[in-house]
Amino acid sequence: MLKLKDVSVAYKEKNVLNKLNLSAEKGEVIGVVAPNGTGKTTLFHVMANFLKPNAGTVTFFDSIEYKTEKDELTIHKQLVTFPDQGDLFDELSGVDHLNLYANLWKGTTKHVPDIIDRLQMTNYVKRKVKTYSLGMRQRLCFAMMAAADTPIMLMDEVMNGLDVANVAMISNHLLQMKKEDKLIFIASHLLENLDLYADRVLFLKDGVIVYQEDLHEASVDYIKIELKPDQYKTLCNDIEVPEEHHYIAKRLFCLPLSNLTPEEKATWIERLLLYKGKDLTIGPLGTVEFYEKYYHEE
Amino acid sequence: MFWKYTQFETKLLWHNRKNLFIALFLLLFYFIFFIYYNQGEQLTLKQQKYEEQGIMNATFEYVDYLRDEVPKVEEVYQLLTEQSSLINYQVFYLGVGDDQAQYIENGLELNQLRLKVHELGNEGIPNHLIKPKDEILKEDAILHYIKKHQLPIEDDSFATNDFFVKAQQAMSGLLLLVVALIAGSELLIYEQRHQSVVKGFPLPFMKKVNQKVAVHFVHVYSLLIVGFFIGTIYAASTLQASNFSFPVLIYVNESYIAVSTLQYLLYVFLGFAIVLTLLLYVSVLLNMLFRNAFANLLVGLGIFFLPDLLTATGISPKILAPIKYMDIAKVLSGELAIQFGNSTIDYWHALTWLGGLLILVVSIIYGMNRWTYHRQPKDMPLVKTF
Repeated sequence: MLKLKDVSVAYKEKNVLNKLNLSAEKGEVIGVVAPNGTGKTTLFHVMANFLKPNAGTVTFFDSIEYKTEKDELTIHKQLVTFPDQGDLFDELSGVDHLNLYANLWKGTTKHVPDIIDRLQMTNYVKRKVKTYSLGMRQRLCFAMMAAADTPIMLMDEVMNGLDVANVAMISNHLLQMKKEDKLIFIASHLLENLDLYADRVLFLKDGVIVYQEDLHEASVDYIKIELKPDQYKTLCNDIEVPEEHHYIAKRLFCLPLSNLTPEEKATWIERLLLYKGKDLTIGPLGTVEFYEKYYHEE
Repeated sequence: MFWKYTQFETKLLWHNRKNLFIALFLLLFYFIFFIYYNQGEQLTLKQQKYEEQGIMNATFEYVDYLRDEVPKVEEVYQLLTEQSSLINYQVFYLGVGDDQAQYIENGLELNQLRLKVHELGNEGIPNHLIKPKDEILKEDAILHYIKKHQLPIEDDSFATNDFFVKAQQAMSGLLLLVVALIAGSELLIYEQRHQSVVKGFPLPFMKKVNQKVAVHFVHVYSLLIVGFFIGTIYAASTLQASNFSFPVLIYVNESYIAVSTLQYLLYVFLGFAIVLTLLLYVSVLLNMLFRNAFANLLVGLGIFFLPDLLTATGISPKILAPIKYMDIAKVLSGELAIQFGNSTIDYWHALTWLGGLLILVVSIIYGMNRWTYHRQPKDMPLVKTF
């Protein structure tokens, strides 16, 4: 459905994207993770043709590239990007915004009341946007995408400014969209939240995807415990620690269970329980751990 | 889809206070202009004729002094004598004689004699007392029109119609330019403040531009017409005169012809429509080039005044004359033809040029948009602005 091939974006000496390759199919929800300023928004802008890369191609539906305005229109009819809440029209109401997106992409506004209802916007959506709080604006931005209801959606910082209840509500809505076979890209800093609905998470670093976390793949379980660097050093000196272990961000010790015998597992748990006051958990490495691994280790 | 987009653009237009000020200005302009116009004293036909008598007497003093020495001056003197007699008769027909038809006949004869004096080179007459040829032709055309349509020579409707002409002359040119440039200053620029909302719209650029221009055109033009009607109703009721068949002179085919006020207004409003459309598309182009609302106004005004600035520096700006065609009232009055010394500058000539410029500007906008899809980035990625 979407394929990026050798996409490079560079400003003078700075490589934002460096021969990046990526392909995605319909029905996938793909999380994009990276610290601020490392190319998430640039990647989305390239996908939407708001930015023409220095090199590389973006192909939709196996054959359509951004070569002419006609191609762009064909793609844009199937693709919507997440509006920035600061870009909303203060003097217009939420309904005006929703109707605009619904009309431009769907040619009808019949589905708008349902979206308003499901995102619990009824009590404010007819007011002017300038009266909205941050969270209200963010919900409106999400609702606008829902109103456009395109097969491809690019959501940059979709959960910004939302409280826990609203994050849960939008997460549910995303799960619903996933069932509708949409291809959704989500850049978010709520890493644990991504695990709820994403099929895979891309970790961007130095202009390339350094790791793709497949959340459907049968993953290896780890014993995880927080250790200070000196505790970790002592542990490594005292005992022979299997090579496959991780010590993430000089904080989290992770030991894979896959190659351990039941006795070894018990021994390791007993050994680590000696570190009182630390939470010991068993489970696969999550997005948070990978994030720390790739971005906090330097 | 496009209708919905038009509705959205219209909504945005009405929520922009700048456009509300434009609306208020256009609605009140003709009304306020009439109040201002009505304060000035209008000379009656009789007073005008008395004035002409005075000028004639002053002319005699100069010519009488020279006529014995220069034979040509003697000839001029004889013609002036006949003219003086005709003017006196005109005064008589306006008063006790009360004969409109004779007044007009005398007027036509008077103009022929004035033209003969011009043919003699106005020998012996000081410059400040010479009635310009174009004024004679204008007066002649008016008298012919009144004779043909059997209109009363003195009527309050003259004043109403004069107000229309003066008001359109005030609106035409600089004022309409400023209104259009302010109206169009943010046609595309505002999108930069709402980029993430509007940038991905599945609409072709040119259609989007056309819709924007159409919405702003309808806004300005309809208010211009409504404002004119408000002024007209007020003027007609104040002067108790609302006959639109009185003559207005326009410059066509290297001469002056008189047309009814209604016809004049149609010419003016058609001209305004083309000028406004052109200026809105120019605003789109300036938005694309400078991406700044103030630049739209400053550059637009700069272009308009360029021929005047060049004239001031001694450079003949004939090639830039079409810029000035935007002042359609000056085209109609023949002022531009005189200013640029080009007798072909008349209404249809100007409209053809303005139409050509409009096509050129639209083509440039179209070409620039096409170019963005063919441009290949080199050292930097290319950001799509609109």
